[in-house]
Amino acid sequence: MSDSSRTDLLQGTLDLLILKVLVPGPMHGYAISQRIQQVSRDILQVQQGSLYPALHRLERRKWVKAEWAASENNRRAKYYRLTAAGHRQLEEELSNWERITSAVSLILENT
Amino acid sequence: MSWLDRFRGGRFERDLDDELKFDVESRTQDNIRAGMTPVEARRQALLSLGGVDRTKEECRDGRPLAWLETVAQDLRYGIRGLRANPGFTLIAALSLAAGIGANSVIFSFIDAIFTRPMAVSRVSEIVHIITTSPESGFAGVAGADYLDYRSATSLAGVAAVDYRGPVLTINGVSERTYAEVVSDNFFTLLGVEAATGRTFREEAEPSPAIVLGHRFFQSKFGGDARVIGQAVPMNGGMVTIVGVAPASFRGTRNDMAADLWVPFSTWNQPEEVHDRRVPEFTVIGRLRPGVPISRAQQELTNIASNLARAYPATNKGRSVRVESDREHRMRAAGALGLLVMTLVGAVLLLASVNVAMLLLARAETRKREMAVRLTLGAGRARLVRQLLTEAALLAGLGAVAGVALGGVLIRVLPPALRLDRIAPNLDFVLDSRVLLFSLAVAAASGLVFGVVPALMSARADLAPALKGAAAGAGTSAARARARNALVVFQVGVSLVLVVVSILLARSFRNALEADPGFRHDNVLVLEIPHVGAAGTGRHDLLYRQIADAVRALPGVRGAAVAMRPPLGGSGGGRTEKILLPGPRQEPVEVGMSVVGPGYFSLLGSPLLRGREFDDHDGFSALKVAVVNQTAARRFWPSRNPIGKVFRTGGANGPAWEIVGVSRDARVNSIAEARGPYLYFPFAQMDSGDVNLLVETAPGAAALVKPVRERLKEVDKELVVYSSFTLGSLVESALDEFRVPAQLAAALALMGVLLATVGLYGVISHFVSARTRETGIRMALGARPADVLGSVLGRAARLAALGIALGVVLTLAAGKALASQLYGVSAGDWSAIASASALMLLVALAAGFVPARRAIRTDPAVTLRQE
Repeated sequence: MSDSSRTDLLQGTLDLLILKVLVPGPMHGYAISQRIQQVSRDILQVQQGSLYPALHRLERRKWVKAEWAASENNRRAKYYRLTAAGHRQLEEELSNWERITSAVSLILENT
Repeated sequence: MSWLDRFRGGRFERDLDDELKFDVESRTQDNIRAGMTPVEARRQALLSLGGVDRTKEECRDGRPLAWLETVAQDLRYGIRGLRANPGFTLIAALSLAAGIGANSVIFSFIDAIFTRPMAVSRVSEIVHIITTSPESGFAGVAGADYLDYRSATSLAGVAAVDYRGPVLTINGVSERTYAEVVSDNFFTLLGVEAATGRTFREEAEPSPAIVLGHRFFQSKFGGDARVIGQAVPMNGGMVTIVGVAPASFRGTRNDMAADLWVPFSTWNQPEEVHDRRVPEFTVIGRLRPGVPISRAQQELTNIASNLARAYPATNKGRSVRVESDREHRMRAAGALGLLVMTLVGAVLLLASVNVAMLLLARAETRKREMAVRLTLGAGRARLVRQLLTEAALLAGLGAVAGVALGGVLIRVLPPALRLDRIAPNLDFVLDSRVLLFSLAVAAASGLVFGVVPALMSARADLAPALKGAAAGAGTSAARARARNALVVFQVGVSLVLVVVSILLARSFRNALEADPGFRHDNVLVLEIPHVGAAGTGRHDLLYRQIADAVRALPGVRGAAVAMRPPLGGSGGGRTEKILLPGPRQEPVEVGMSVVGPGYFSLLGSPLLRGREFDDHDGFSALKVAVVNQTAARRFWPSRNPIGKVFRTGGANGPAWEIVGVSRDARVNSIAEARGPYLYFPFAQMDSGDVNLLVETAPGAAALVKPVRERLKEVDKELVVYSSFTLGSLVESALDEFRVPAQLAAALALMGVLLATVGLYGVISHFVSARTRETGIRMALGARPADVLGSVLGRAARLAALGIALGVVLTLAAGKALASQLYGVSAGDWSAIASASALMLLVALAAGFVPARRAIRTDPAVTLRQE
C-alpha cells in the first residue's frame, strides 16, 4: 500500500501483461515471469516483489483463479488460470492500451 | 524464516511460503542449467527475490480482513514487547493508573455532586426555569410567576419545587426530614414511576399524602412495603404514605437526596404560591416533543416582560432564563468543578508525558530493531501502527489499573475528605458514566503519549542505526530535544499545581484564622420545633421559659434562642424588604434573623452601640431592631443609627426603632462579602425555625442530655430534632476551603512525583549518552565537581525553563482561580516563588543521582567501552 505512485504506474501494465500471458492456459508464477522475460527478449524483467502481489491482487479481483497442481518436474506449484471476468478485463485493458499508445505515437510523430 | 511468521497462521501463510519457495527452487535449477555452481545458483535466486518480507507483506495487505489480522498481530507483538520489559511496563502503567484513577474518582465526585442528570424519562426535554435579575443574578422563580409560566405552549408542563424540613414522627420519634415540596404534577411531568405504591395524582391529591425517598424508606422503615397506605404525623397533621420513589430518583438536586416529597395540595401554602415577591421556587419544565429550547426561551421571555410591565413593583428588571438539565448542572459545578477537573487533568497529562518519555527512551534502544525491520521491508506506516498499538495497550493497561485504583480510592477518599458533610447521602460509585469517562481519558492520554514517539521512530535514519553508532544519529538528537521539551512542560504544569495548592492552602488558613464575628467554642445548638406564631402568648412565654430553665442547669453559662445559628449551613437565609424614611422610597432587601435576649453576649459579640434585646421587648412593647455595622454604615452613613426607624412590609407596615448596632458576623459562609444584616426580637417577629444556643463549660456535647431532659420538663411536647455544636457549623463552613485545599495538595504531590520521575529519566539519559565525553574530560583532568556541576547545571536549566513556562501558565489561569481564593491573590508572588524554589530543588535532587553516577565512572572503562 506504500509507494503508491510507483506501483500505480506499473500496476496497470503488469496486470495487462500477466492477463495476456495467461491466455493460452494456466501457469505458475515463476513461469509467468520467465515467459514475460522471454517474449520481450529480456527487456522486461518482472521482479518477484511486484509479480506475486500483482497475482494476489488479480486473484482477489477474481480475474484469475489459482489452484495447486503438480508442476512439469512434479512439484507442487500454484497455477493461475484466466477467468471469464479476466478475459473481459483483458479485452478492456487491451483496447485501453491501444488507445493510449496510438495517442502517444500521434504526439510523438506530429510535433 | 522471519520472526513475524510465528504469529501468522493458517493456510494463506503456508501457501504463500510454498509459492515463493517454488519460485526460488525453479530459478535455482534454471541457474544450474545455465552453468552456475549449485551454491551460486541458489544465492542468485534468493537475490532476485529481493525483500521476502516486503513481498509477502504486499501480498497480504490487500486481503479482506487483513487489517484485522494485522491488528491482532500488532497486539500480540505489543504484549510480548511489554512483557519483555517489565520495569518499563510497570512504571508506565503505574503512572497512568495514578492519573486515570485520580481522574475517575474526581469525576465521579463531581458527577455525583453536580453533573449527573436527573433519573427521569427523556431527560433531554427537561428544562430549568430561572429568574435572572441585575441585583441577585440567578435565582428561583416567584410562586405567582410560576403560575403564569404554566401558560407557555412550548412546554408540555411546568412543575415547581420548594425545599423544606418538615418533622415526621416515626414510631414515636420525631425527626426533621429533608423534603421537596412539589406541585402535584411533579412526578407525572418528570415521568418518574413509584417503585412501590404510587406517586401523586396530577390534578391534586384528595387527602394529605407523601411519597418517600428510597434511601429514607430503607433506613427509617426498613424497606417494609406494608408502610404504604399508613398515616404518619407530619408537622402536627396526619399524612398518608402513598408510595416510594425508585432508588435512582433522588429529587431535583444532586447534592441533597430528598427524604420525601410532599405535594402542594398537602403542604397547603396558597399564599406563597401566589406571592410574586420572593423568587424562591425551583421550576422545572418539559419541552413538548420536537420543540427546541430556544422557542421556550422566547416564549417565557415574552411572558416575563409582560409580567415586568404588569407588576413593576415586584418584577421590574426580572428576566427569565431557560436552560437544559445538562446546562443547569454544568453551571452548578461551576468554577470549583472546573478547577478540580483541570488540576486532576493536569496530573494525567503529567503521567502521559512520563509515558511518552519512557516510550521515547525505549525507541532509542529499539532503534536498531526498527531499522532492521524497515530494511527487511516493513512499511513505515506499519511501524507507526505497531508503536501506536503498543501505546494503546499501555493506555488500556493503565485504564484497567486506573479503574481498579479508582475502586479503592472511591472507598477511602470520601470518608478521609469527609465529603458527607458537603453532600450528605451521596453514593459515590464508579458507574457506567464514570467508566466511560475513564475510557475516554485513557484514550486521550494514549494519543498524547503514543503519537509523538511513534512518528519520531518512523522517521528514523537507517544507516547509522544499523551501524550501531551511538553518535551521529540525527534522530537521537531530535528525541533528546523532544524529551527536554516534554520535561520542561512537566515542570511547568507541576509548578502550576504546586502554586494552586499553595494558594488554596493559604485560603484555607486564612479562612481558619478569619474571625467569624462570634465565638463558637463550647456552644451547643439544639433545633426545636416551631410552636405557633409570635405574639400568641404561648410562643413568648415558652421561649423565655426554655432559656431561663436551661440557664439554671449546672455547667450552663448562658442560653438564648435564635431563628438560625450563624453559618447555619442552609445557605440563603431569610430576607426582609425594608423601607428607610426620607426621600429614597425604594425598598431594600436585607438579610435578617430573629433572636432572643442574651443572643449577642452568648456569642461573645457585645454590641458596638446601644443595647441588645431583653425581656422587656415583648410582643406589645415598642418594636425594636438591632442592625449590624455594615447596615448602620450603609443606611445611616456618618450618623448614629440608634433611635432611627425603618419600616417592613411597605409604607404602611410596622416601624422598627433601632436600639443597637452589632459587629458584622458571617451569616452563610466564611468568605462572603460583608453585607447589611438585621436582627429582630423573638417576641415581635415570627420565626420559622427555632434554635436554642447554649453556652457551656468546656465539653459542650456532654450537656445535650440534661438540656433535653430540662426541655421536656418545661413542656412535654417539646422535642429536639437535632443537636450539634456551633464549632461543627464553623468547621462545615470551612469545608469549602478544606476540601479543595486537600485535593489540590494531593494532586500537586502526585504532579511533583511524576515530574521528578521525568526529570530523573532525562538527566539519566543525558549522563549515559555522555559517558564517553565525561571519561575524556576526567582523563584530561576535570575534577568531579566540574562534572557534577555540568550535570546539575543541565537539570537547573531544564527546571528554569519549566518554571518560566509554569509562571506564565499560572498567571494566565489566575482569573479562573480568583473566585476560589480567600485573602490571597491568584498572582501571589510569594506562592509562585516558593513553588519555583521547590521545583528547582526537585530538579537538582532528581539530577543528583545520575550526576554521582557520572563522576564515579572510571575514565579508563568508559573510554574502552566503544
